[in-house]
This record gives sequence, structure tokens and C-alpha cells, in this order.
Amino acid sequence: MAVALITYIYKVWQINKQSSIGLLVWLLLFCVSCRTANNADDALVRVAFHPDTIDLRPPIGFPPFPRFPYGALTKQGVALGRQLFFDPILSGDSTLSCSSCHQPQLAFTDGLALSQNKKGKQSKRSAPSLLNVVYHYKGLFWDGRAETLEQQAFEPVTNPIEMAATWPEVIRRIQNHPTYRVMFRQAFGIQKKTDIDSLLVTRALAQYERTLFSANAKFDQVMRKEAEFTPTEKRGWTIFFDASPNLPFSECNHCHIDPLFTNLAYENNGIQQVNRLEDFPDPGRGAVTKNRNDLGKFVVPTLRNISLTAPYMHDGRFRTLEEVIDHYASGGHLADNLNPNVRVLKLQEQDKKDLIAFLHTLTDTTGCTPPENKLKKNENGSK
Amino acid sequence: MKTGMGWVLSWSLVLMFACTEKKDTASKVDVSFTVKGVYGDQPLQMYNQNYPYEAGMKIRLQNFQFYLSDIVLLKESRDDADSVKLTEIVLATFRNVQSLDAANKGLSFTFKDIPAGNYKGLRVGIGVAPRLNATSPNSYTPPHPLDDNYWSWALGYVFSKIEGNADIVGDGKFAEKLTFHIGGNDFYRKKTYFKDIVLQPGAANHLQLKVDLRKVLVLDSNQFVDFRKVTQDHTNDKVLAKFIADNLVNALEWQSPL
Repeated sequence: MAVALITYIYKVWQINKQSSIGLLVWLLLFCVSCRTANNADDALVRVAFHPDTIDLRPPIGFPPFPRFPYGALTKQGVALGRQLFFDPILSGDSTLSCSSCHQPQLAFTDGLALSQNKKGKQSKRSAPSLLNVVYHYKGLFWDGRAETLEQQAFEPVTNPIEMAATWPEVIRRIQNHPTYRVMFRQAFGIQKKTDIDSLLVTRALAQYERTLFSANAKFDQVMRKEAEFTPTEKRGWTIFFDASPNLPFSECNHCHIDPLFTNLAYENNGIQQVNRLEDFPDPGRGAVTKNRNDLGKFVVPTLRNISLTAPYMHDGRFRTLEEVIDHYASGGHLADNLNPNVRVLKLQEQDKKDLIAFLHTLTDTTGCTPPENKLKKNENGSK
Repeated sequence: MKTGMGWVLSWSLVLMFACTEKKDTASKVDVSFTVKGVYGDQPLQMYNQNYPYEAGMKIRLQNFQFYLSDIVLLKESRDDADSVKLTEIVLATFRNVQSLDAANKGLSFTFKDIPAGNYKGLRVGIGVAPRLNATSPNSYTPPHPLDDNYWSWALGYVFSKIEGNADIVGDGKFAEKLTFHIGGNDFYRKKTYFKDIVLQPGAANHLQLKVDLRKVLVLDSNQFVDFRKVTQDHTNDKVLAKFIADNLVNALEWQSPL
């Protein structure tokens, strides 16, 4: 190969001296860059790859985890996922990170009715909470179009009204980022920087997301017999669970089943008036399943940290919990697929207040603190 | 000499063990189990079909589901006979049975590694057997039939659900919402079908039950769930809960596979 190249350059030299100088310079640069890359990769394989498996266990009072598609989490995988989650390196103009729409202090939502990017472009849906997302085995997103957290993480990066990047560009940035190279080596044992790909990025993000829990609300403490409800909260609990024939029913618990406070099902809860199912402005689950009866259905969201996640519903149409309860008390808009558990409620004002008092016992800020940024400033969000 | 005898004995034991193992493996079969839903003489479909009801009313369903526990094959024609367990629990849910094709197929379950042989009957528990009803979703790795349909406030599972709408005035709007949820050990039932059942290797070993939703709601023209008076039960109305639980036993019938 080298002999052939030298022979070729010599022949070019004889014909055109200028061209041959250019060719030589190009060849020199090529060799240097190869050497640099090789040096970087050589250094990479010298980084220890000893992933520490995390013995992740369900919180007390919670069910076992569904199967993880890529096996156990590791300390290094979670650390990498956390770093990526808070890094705008994943967005096209390096201004948005996953945490822009999933802010820890807002229980991993963004406080907006509809999520938007830095240019003010709005998504058609609100950002759902990620707490306890480890349990979401019936689909991710409001319409359940992603089966796993790994699949889910692929989409926002390239969505033009979210991060608006391309995966090749994002991967190029990460591959050229010295800290990330090492972190990917430590997490996944890559041999060279070009082993970093979108699959590994999403696997790391999913590992981190599987560690986001809400399991220490007052409700949990009461269940663990570490605290007691106030009389108002207790009355609200009874109404929420339809647990006494002597109090009005709220019908909440058919879908918002504890401890997750969701049954992960897809339902039409009657917030949108339509003449025909085809008229729903957002087809929701129906667009995924292509089933007419699923039009206008969305996943039942968790009520954990509900006091931190206003506004409510997939399109953020209700600003307060009072508005939400008033909607359900009305029985919702009738449609062929309206969940029949959404029916007129006989709640008095005090009943509603007690119900809201109970809902506040689902607040848990334990996991709502952003982590410290461990990357050097000049490494963040590099293009 | 002694060593030689030892070798012969050892080899004989190994050979016998190997033969036994082979026989056991060969005598296990997979059993397919189907539950077909009907409404009177019509296939049962969710959402897409209106069904005539008593007193000129009509109904349309969104979900009909119930648990079957401790499904066993009986070795003799008596209820206390030795039995072979097919499964501990299944959830028969018609929620996704929304087309005629799906209704004709019914709900299918497969029970693996069941000993082949001649059996004299099939017994099912209708609802969640008390020992399972004492557990909670926290005992099961999702997806599992018992990871949902749980009343934490009552410490038990919802054994059966009937959800849908009724048209009680004939305006075609189906404005009455129907939600009947039955649970509690008092409403657990068992039913035995004494039948000759032959399971053999290489054969299509298939068992089939039929459930008639109309029979769950209507006992006769004088005794039926009257949606003009009641549209909901969380098992707080024990009389109604018993009516539905008892009817479900009668509505679940043996059906010879076609």
C-alpha cells in the first residue's frame, strides 16, 4: 500500500509538482490524525472496565421491577446516563437537555401546559413525570408508542420541536468528548471511541431513568406506619378509594391504583367533546394501534407528586387540581370510548377539599434534587 | 468380582434413571385452553356491537373480565379426586376482543408440560382463590395476571368486571355508564365439569369454555340487573354482587372445541 502510494506520488511529481505537494500535505495530515485517533483509542483501552452492578431493589410497598431489556444497572452506566440527561450536548443547538423538560424540582416535568423548545415551538403534549418510570412496561410517551425506555430516548433527540439534533452529529460530539469517552469505556467497555453509538447513549439514559423513584411521600409513610393522616387527609383517602359507602365515591382508584397511582392503561377520560371518535384533535393511542376505539386515549398518568406537576392532562388544559376534580365530577364528555368509570360524582365542596388534601400526601421531594454537574465547564455541550 | 458387580449395578441404575427421564419427558404435553365469549347467541365483542337487553334496553360493552384460579384436571369423576394443576391463575379479559374475528377465536392460554393421560374432569375457581387473594400486586413481577385489579383498601382483588354503557331510553346515546366490580372471598366460586379428557403426545390437546355475558346479567325476565335502577357496584351491594357471582358460575359452560 505504502509503496504504491509513494510510486503514485513520484509519478505525479514528474507531471505536476504543485499537485504532488498538496497530495503530500494531505497524506501527512491523514497519518497524524490516524495516529492521534489511535493514541486516544490506545489510552481508552487502558481505562479500567470493571462495572459495578447495582443491586436495585423496589422501594418498600412497591412491586418487583419488570424485566430490564439489557440486564442489571451498573454504577457507571447510571452515572453516565445522569451526565447525559443533564447535558445539552444532545440537542441540535446545545441549548436543551432532557432535564429542560424533565426538571427534578418539578417531579421531572416542566411546569408548562405544552412543552416547548428554546425557540418557543410548542409540542402538542405536556412533559410527563419520570418518577417510577422503571415500572412503565406498557409503553412510554402519552400514547405508549415506545415499548422501552431505551426506545423512548431515541425520539426527543431528533424531534424538530424538541432537541432538533441528528444522531450522527450528537454521536460525533460525544465521541470527541474526552470525558464521555472514558465514561462510555467505564460503563460499557468500549474499545474505541467509534464504538459509542446511539444505542449505548439510550441505554445509559434508560439506566439513569430507572433509578428515579418517588416512594417516600406521606402516603408511603402512613402505609409503612411511620406517620398518620390528618382527619382531613384520611377522609380524602376514603373518598379517593371509594372505601366507604357512607362517603361519596370519587372513582379515582379504578385507574390510579397505588402504589404507582396509575394502572398504566390507556383511557379516554372525557376531557374533549367530540361528535365522532375521529374528531379528536389529538388521536392519542389510536394513532399507535390504528384502532378506532383507542382514538383520544392517553396513558393514565401517575398522581405521585401531583401538587408539583401542574398543569394537568396530556395537553395541560387544567391549571389546578380543583379544575381536574370539577371535570371528573361533571362526568366528562360522552363518547363511544369514554371510560365508564368517569361518571357524575356527588362530591360536595368539603369532599373536594379533603380529596385534594389526600392528593397532597403524594408529594415526595426525595428524588427531586438535580445532581451536581461533574463535567468541566468547557466540556459541557460541546458541538 | 465385587468391583465388577458394582459397575454392573451402577450402570443399571444409570440406565433405569435415563429411561425414566425419557418416559417423563415424552409423557408431557402442552394444553391449549380457550375461553369464548358470547352474548346470547351472538359472539361477544367489546365496543363495536350493541346487544338487546331486558325491558327494551340495549347495552354496549367496553370490558368484561374475570379471574380463573386453580384450573385443574381431575383423575377421577369426583370433586375430591387427585388432580393435576394446569395453572394457578389466568385473567380472562375481553377488553381487546373488539372484532368478530377476535370474538370467534376467543381468549387463548397455553399450559405447558402437563402429564398426558386420561382425565375425568376439569375444575376451575371463578375469581381469585383465597390464598392468592391474600397476596397483592407487590408479590408479582409484571407482567402478571395479579399485577393489577387490586383494591388496596379492601386488601383483595377485583374478581370480575363488567364495564360499558346502556341505552335505557331508546335514544341510541348509551348515556348510562355501567361499572360492576365484584371481589371478596365470599364471592369466590368453583365449578367442575365432569368430562372424559384425553391428553396425548402429538395430539391437539385443547380445552374450551364458553361464557355467556347475558346469563351473568339476566337470570330470567323477572330477575336481571335493571340498569334503570342500578348502574354500578363496587361489591358494596352484597345482594347484587352475589347475584352476579352466582350467575357467572352458570354462564361459564363447557364447550367441545370445533
